[in-house]
Amino acid sequence: MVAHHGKQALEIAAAKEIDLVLLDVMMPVMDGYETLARFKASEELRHIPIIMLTSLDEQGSLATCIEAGAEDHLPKPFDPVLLRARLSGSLERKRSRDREREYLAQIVAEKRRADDLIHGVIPIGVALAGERNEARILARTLIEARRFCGADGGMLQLLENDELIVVQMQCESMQQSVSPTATRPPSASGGVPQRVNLKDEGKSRRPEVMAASQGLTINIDVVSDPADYDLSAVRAFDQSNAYRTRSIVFVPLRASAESDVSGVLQLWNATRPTDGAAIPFTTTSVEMLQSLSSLAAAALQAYRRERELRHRIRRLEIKIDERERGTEVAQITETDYFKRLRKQARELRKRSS
Amino acid sequence: MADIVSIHSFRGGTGKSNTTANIAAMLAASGHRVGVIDTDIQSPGIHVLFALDPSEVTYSLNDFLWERCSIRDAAYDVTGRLGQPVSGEVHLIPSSLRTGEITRILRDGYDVSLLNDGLQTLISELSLDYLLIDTHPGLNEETLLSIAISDTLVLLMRPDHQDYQGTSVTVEVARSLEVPRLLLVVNNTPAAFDVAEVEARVSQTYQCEVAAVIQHCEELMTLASAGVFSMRYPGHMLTETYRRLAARIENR
Ligand SMILES: Nc1ncnc2c1ncn2[C@@H]1O[C@H](COP(=O)(O)OP(=O)(O)O)[C@@H](O)[C@H]1O
Ligand SMILES: [Mg+2]
Repeated sequence: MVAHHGKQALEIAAAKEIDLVLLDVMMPVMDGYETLARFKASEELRHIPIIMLTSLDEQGSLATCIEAGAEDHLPKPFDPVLLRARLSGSLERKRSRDREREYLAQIVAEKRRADDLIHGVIPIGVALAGERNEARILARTLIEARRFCGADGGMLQLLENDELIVVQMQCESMQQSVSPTATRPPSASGGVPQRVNLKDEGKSRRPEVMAASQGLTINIDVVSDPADYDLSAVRAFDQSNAYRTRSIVFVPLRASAESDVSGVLQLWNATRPTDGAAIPFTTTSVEMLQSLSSLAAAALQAYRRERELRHRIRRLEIKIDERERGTEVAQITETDYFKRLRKQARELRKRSS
Repeated sequence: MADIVSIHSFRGGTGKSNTTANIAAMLAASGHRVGVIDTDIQSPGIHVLFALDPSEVTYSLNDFLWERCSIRDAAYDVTGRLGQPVSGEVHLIPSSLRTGEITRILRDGYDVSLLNDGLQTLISELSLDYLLIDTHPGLNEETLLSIAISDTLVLLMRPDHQDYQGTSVTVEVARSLEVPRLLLVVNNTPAAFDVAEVEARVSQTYQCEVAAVIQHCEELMTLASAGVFSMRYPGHMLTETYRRLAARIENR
């Protein structure tokens, strides 16, 4: 691309992805020195390599150019072979710098993810492990999951004998929520069937069924890329609630990749904080949801194990058949031997006391 | 006068021998002179815990009951075999391990009053403070005798449905025999059970003091009766339970 003066060059560079700039010193409107200075002062443009084209009488200012951040310089009139060599050298350096920048961005993203895990997800896991009631664990899981990815609504289904059963549903914009202390699951809500059988052939393409039976995390942009999932349950929900689901994510509930799926966490309509518009779920928030759901599943598993143990203690209910005991006792105590023994024992005790 | 303490259970394998051996060791550690008699003639076992080899046994309880020897001849000082020095003493009267002698006793029975006299002789000759009787499970004549002459009956049970009914019959029979003190001990309690809850439930059901709730213990099981647990694991939680149980027996 050609710019006729420095100002134009800056405009082009701001609008387009530029790999390298060949910059003349003598230009109208804005000369080469000033253009170079502007490029280097800009946060967005500073990384673009610049090769200065200088005539013989401008050689004295070469040092100034290098100091100001020019990558290289070429004397005018320039030799095409030399130009090509300088260009490819500069471009190669830029590419390696770009790669570095990418890695750095990745590291920053990883660090943020780790921070989110440590400061966001893990404390929730700790709190969940402390809950002493299954309904509270479930409600809290859904509340925290929604908060995490800014979802307008969500639902928790638990797997029992090949059936997914709705146990929690919350939707902010519909002002619908199940109280965290509720022990009974919500009744069939908003057109969503209370139970879905995984073995039902006709429902095998439903994302919640696939999440439960195959342990898949499924993130769907309902508007632009619904793929070939069977979204009939989602559509039924939309229809009976005058709602519009634009994005929805399904995450299996399981303590680890090896353990059995105990349910499905689904969240819909991630909202953009700035204007509240529904947007797709980001990869990062889906990853967080996966971590959260594994902690929730672990908390649920631990709770259920504890409850099972408590049940066993309750089963220490000691049952005694009084009538049978009476018969058995009489069989012993009414023998002559026993009566004699009791008499002897009495005398023995009397003697020693 | 010595205290006679019978350690009994309605069913076998409840932990009578292990509990008896540990109580004996704990009482000896408190300076007492303790006699232990294995009246479980059908399935003797406590000698193993005291590391007494059958080849060392010249006379057993069986010989005494057949009037082949005095009771004193059938007593073995096992104090040095406890695994720890103690200030008291433990003397063991084992049952015969020879199968022929076991079946003969079972076939012909024995004179229970002879056993009673033997115990009294033993107490005075060895100046015992405590005589512990490791009984045969169930409620046969010999067992009833042991219970009848006991000052304390320690009745072992597991938190297991197999034990509940039989234990209740035994409790009633012991009451009918007017045993001065009846203590229940729950053994082999799974870790999942809450000890306090087990204690409350058992004492409420049988209307009887629960002197100890002993948890199931892997180390005890691994020791496999090759020693007295509380002497091998002095710092163990279970040892503390045995210690309290012994103190409860001591404290009348
Ligand atoms: N509290 C316990 N924890 C684990 N194992 C035990 C416990 N009490 C007893 N046992 C085991 O049970 C078995 C039977 O114990 P034992 O003392 O020989 O019972 P008994 O004399 O009533 O037949 C032994 O193998 C012993 O190690
Ligand atoms: Mg035994």
